[in-house]
Amino acid sequence: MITLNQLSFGYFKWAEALSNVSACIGSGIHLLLGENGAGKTTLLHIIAGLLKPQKGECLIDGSNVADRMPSVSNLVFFLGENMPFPANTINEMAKIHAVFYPTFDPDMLHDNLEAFGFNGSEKLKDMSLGNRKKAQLAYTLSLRTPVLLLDEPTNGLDITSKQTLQNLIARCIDDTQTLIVSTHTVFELQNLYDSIIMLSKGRLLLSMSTFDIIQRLAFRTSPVPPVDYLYKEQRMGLNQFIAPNHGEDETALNYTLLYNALLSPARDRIIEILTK
Amino acid sequence: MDYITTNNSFSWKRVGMVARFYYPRLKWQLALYPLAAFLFTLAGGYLLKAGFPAILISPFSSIASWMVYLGPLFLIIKSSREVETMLPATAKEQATYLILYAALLLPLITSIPGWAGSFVVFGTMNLASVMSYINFPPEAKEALEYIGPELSRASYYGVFTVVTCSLITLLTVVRAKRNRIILSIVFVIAFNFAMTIIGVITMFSKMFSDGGVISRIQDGTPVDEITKEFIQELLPATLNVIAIFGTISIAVLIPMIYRGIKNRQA
Repeated sequence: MITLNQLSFGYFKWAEALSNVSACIGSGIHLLLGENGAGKTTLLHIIAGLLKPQKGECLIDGSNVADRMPSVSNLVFFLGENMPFPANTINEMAKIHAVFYPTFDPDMLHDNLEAFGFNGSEKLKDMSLGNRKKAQLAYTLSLRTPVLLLDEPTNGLDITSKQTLQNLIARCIDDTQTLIVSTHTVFELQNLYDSIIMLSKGRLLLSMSTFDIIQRLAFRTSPVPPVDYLYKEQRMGLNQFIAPNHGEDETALNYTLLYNALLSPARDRIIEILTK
Repeated sequence: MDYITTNNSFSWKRVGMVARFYYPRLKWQLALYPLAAFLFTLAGGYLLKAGFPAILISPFSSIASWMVYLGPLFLIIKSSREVETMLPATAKEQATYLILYAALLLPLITSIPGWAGSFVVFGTMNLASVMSYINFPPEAKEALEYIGPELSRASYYGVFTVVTCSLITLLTVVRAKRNRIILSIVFVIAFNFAMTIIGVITMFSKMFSDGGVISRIQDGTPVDEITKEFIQELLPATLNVIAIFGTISIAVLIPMIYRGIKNRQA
């Protein structure tokens, strides 16, 4: 369980990247959304212990991540965009780095690499950006840390690799693990998400399970939206809209529509309905 | 597969795992440094024996010193600030390994082959014996005889400068995010300049103190006697000051390196 207590962080004194963020994030696969500069990467860095918050705290299973004690550090791993690995190959990385993580599964690493078409002895510096990313994802998933943080994991991946990644995440992440994925391309892994965490301008707008969202909101498409619609967008002559769910059948969550709605003036009304 | 315990107490086992973590980046350095130090000493030594002027040979010993001064820069190779910051080892364990590497391992893998090279060329590691091959002017040779026994001590005291400079580079690598090579060079030069100033201050204090050179000249003591005594007192005094300054520097740098690792923000 990740507990965020009134987290605040600023890279400069005059600008807070995160402001008073509080949330409890349990096990499952969580989508972290937000516009550019919203504070997504900053939040992931704080959860990983890479940054120390100026106010508040981040706890993993009750222990403060900022203390950087081995008992907490080996519970979490962050894979960022364009993050280098201090090894020539993935196999070398496993030898020098995975030893610090008691949950590392070498068989899973072998299977993950095989799924992407690698054997682990390929030189990382000779790989393309996409291939290097695939190898790093294969390694990261095999660490099996209770908390895994992925920042834009599908960037640079081809279509087949994105599908492979989706399959690997579904296979590798179990019920006890917490995976947080920060991405702007939602639809590629959208079948996996158990909850949404949405940031905007450093503030937490929403942290809620997808199940609870579709219980309270309906996402529909029709030529004419209902009277009580909360937010609508017009696409190719049709209206996509969000309306309160009055106990009707659940609809499929439209992540893009919800994202745009939460950045619009309809935000407060939507959050009120979600949190009542 | 060895798994680290989840105990947060200091663990030498984890220090060993930190060493293993850094090994791929440092293995070339650990192989090249001893070889380079040995070859530089051989080259410099044979050129000296052949009668080449000292000014052409001094770069060989300077290169060997600078190899150690800037040795920790090898940690930048394939470095990943994120992975290193997240590493499940305490700051003390990481600092212990890095400080032992910079302050002990690097000087040893350079000095020991250097001494071996000196032994191969000159049959001795004694600095005074080696310096007898240099064609000094007669007055300088006379001065050399006065301070001969202290010269060997000088080569051991040089370790304070070497260790301090290596730790300065390590501190720069740990704390700076950019321009680490340039900053390391600048800080090492600044430290060596500071040591030179301290040496000059020591010399002037010897000259102008009670019983020093100036007062002895005023007393009418023969110049030869003053010169001999000055040289015999100056080198040990300078060495002692270097040792004290070096020890203080090392004592300040070590906690700074530890705090740099502990408070690192990726």
